[in-house]
Amino acid sequence: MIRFLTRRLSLTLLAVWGALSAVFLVLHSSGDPAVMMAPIGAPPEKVAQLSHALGYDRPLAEQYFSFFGDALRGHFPDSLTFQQPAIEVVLQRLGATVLLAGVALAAAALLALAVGLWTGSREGGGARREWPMWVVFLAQSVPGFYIGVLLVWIFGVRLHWLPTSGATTATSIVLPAATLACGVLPPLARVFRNNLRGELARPYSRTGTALGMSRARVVRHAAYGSLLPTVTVLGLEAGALLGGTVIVESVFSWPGVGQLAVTALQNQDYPLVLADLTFLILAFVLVNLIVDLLYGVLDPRVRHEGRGPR
Amino acid sequence: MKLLPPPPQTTPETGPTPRTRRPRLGGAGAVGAVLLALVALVAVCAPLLAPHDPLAQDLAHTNAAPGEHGYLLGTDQLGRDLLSRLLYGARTPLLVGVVAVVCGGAFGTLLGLVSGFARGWADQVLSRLADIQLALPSVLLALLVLTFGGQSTAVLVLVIALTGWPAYFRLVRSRVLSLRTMPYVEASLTQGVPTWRVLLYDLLPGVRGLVAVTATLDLSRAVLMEAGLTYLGLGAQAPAADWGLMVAEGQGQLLGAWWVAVLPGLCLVALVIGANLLGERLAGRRPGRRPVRTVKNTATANRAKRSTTA
Amino acid sequence: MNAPAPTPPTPGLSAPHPWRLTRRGALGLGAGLALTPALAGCLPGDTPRGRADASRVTIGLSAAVTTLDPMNTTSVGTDLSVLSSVYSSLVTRRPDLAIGPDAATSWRRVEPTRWRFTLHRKAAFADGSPLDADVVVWNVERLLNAANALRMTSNFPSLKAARKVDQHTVDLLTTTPDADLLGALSFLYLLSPRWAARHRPATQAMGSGPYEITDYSPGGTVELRARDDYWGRKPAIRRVTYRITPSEPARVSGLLSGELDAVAGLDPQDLDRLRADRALRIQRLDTTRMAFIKLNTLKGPMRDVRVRRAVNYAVDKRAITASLLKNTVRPSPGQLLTDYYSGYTDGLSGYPHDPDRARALLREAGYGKGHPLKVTLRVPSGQYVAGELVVQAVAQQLSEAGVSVRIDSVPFTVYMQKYLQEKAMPDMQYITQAWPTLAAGGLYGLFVSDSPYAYWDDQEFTAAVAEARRTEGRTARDALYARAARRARDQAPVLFLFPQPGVYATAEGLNWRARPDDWVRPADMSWKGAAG
Repeated sequence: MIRFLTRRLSLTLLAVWGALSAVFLVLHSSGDPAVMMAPIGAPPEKVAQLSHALGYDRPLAEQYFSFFGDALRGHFPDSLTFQQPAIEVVLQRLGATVLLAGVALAAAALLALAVGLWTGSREGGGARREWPMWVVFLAQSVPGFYIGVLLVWIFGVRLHWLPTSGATTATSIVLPAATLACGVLPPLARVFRNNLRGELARPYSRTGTALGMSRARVVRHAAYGSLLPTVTVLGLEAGALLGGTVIVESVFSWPGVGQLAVTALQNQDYPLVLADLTFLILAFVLVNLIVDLLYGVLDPRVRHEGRGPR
Repeated sequence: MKLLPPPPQTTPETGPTPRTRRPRLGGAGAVGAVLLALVALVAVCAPLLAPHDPLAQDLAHTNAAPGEHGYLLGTDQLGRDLLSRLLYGARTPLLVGVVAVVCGGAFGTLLGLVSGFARGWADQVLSRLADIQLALPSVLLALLVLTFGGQSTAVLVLVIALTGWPAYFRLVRSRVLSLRTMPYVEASLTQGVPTWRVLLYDLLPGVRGLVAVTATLDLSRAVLMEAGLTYLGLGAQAPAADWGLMVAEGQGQLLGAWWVAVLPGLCLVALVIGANLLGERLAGRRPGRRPVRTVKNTATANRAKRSTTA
Repeated sequence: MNAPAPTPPTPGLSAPHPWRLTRRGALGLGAGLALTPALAGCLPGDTPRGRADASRVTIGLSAAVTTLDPMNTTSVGTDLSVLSSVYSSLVTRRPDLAIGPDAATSWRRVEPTRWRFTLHRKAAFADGSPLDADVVVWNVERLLNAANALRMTSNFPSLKAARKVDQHTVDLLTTTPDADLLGALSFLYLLSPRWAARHRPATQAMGSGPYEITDYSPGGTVELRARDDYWGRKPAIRRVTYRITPSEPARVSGLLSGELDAVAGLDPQDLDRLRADRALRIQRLDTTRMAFIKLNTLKGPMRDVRVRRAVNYAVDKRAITASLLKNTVRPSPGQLLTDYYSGYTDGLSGYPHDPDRARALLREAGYGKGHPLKVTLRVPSGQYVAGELVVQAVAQQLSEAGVSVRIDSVPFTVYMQKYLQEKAMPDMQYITQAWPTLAAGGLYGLFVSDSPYAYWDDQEFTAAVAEARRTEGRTARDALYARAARRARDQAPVLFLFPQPGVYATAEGLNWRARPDDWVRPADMSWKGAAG
């Protein structure tokens, strides 16, 4: 167990290091970042002042190390458009994104279970059983923003059923969450279904059937066995989910951190873009760690394993 | 950073029972190849096929419905022929997608070969790099690079390639690890054949098919990413004809002229479905038997089709 | 607005409605979670059509409110429109565009450079502290203190200081006689010094206006509630919700479904569809902004007046207004001003669409086959109504006359930086300009030689404007402005286009007069029947 934990933790630290190095590298790739961080049109003295205040005039190696500390403590320059610490703006918007992602993830997980059970609990069955997988396949092939645009068109513009913008009414969340769920559903459904089939083909399932257990009971046991890999994919999909929120929030003007990144980018509010993206990347890495640890808790085999499967 | 099985679509090797990993698509692979070939053909022959200049405006007939005023698919908000724009619009997604896949594939394959062959510390370093890369959410990374590294097609291609290479790397590496112990490779090595020759003539052919399959699936990822980033305003710029951009521009007209946004999206979906169908079908076969190169034009697409339906 | 008597709110009507259940709390997370239970109770079918609630209004904003500090923003359509409900200024520009009283009840010029304001005796902030001369003095000092780097400061080039006369009287001193001071003062919202010492005005607000903010998150919704203890005329609308709807389809579908009661600055392309809805009232007018394509006459090919005239002839303004702007505006008669401005010159005519003449002029200037004219045309993305479309149409028409145009679409902040700070305006750029005081001298001031906005060094024009500004008599002054207008028409420092169209949609039954400057103030609104 200790070995498992240290391994996970060291990998997470490595990823955090990689993420922050990438951010640092990108930030410093074109000269003094203070030029971008200063308000548009700031005189050179002011830029130099900011550069000094943020330590951009120190040796690069020294900056590299202090950058980690600052980023981890949420120290970023003030947002230019909102005139307050960038990380505060990010935190104020975080709730909306967490809500959206949570609802979308829950919807996708439920749908994936349904699709998996429907198509995976029986071998064969032809088109009448397989059609949900085709829907899943389609969802996988449609760009997220296009699903969003289509939903806006059908449910907002044509039918006037649902609001298409913002997060002001209770129904506002339906369309963005549905769009986001479409992006997460395919991998979940596929993994669950395939693992379910795999479990059903294993000796314990066959034994159960031979002993006269009802089909439903056999499937239930197999489904429990298939949940674990599905949870892993859930963690892996957190990245896709975050990327998805950027686009979905832009389509629906959902006031979360994803849309914030895009509008900050458009307004050239570089401190805010930096704080937002760094925060999201770190959050993602941490979510992954949690999923890994959960996996360890759920599956004792992983805990006792020396090396993870490659 | 993931120790656990990578996402399902990456290939046969990772799962216990390849046969059950994806829905049975029947002759769908052929459909995919045809779709891809069609898009490629359209992109190449756009000047011959397009009835109008994609940039020519007809201000007297803006937002004409399909069929009106002699415009087969109608016009957009500036009276530009939508059909011609759709035909020309195939070029950027396809070009960016293919170039990004080739770059990412070549890079990942090369590193995978080296890593699997050299083993030891080089392997460790490269594997950790791939882990880190996978741990960073790709859309956020792309946003970061495009914000602070400049917005241009070259950067766009680079960033899509950058987020794609670990998939190739992992597959090639694990395949090379197993190929390396094969008698013919050992024979070459003991005979003192230079390392680069062994890599090039003994190991590369063994992974070619694998890479081709991954590349086909990666193409759909690359196209989706290009479209998403373009939709956010980070790709092609007006007045260029590009499907993602056209959806973004037409979104404001959904109420009165739905075709302006809906049709380019359909084209995108067709391209991605084509790549996905073909990729799934290729992956369903045992990789490595019949080397199929990246699908670039009709000839190879047809060859691919024959090889999959044979 | 010749005021109907204010009506006290009907208690029964101000009860919360299911579709307005949620408001974003201070912490987004809490508010976000509050949405979830509401989901269950709200079926799609309930989406409201009922606009009869006499005390509430929901306004769609095109961009998020980015700061609550009224001195640190100049965005009239969004930030200032919201803040003008919360804060009060000395004077205000009324819906009929005249200057009227707000916190100051009367004012006069006691010396050419000294204005005396008498303050409303009851004027007070929401926390009960009085709005007196000390407050005004403190605010002027805050504004003029360069260390504060406030964005509003640049609108007060001549303001020098404020002096307290007695508790309710204050003098404002200017460096030079400035007739535009009152117009500028309608933008100066007053903070409470005591409150500001202990709070952050960028994220919190406490003013002396008719409303107070009950909910604000940066970039999210804003909610206002009318103050019961407001010292002025109480507004008919008691509760205001601002929704951020940056996308045009969201605005339009919000209006059609009844979620939004008032939206300003709509795209004319949606006019027909909005008009078809009986539950909406559409108002259309020219705004005080003139849209044109500015030419860089100091550098590059546009130094040549023949080229400047050629591009004016090459563009079919009428085709653009007819198609892209749905005839909401008419092409400008070769004018830099719209006719709202005092000093507007009648009787000019614009450049007709004449591609042959354009080509001939270009040939004369040395361009043609083998040596085509290549220019860059810059446009700020998402800033001006239909701006990107107009620019693409212009580029296409210029290319038909043999000019090859590269469109450069950049964010507005970058655009302004290049334009004003870096002095790096490209050959052409799309821009709309207005002057808040609606005086010709103000807007023309953007074209005189020494203005950073001008990119045009023309002595005749500059002299005429300078003389007009010094001239007291109206006829003589207008004659000088006419000279300037004709000179601008002739020298073509811009590619003349049209006034920026203003399309406003309000729920049928909402009394509100659309105005050509960008203000949208809920205090000016009332529901029919409720406020009669």
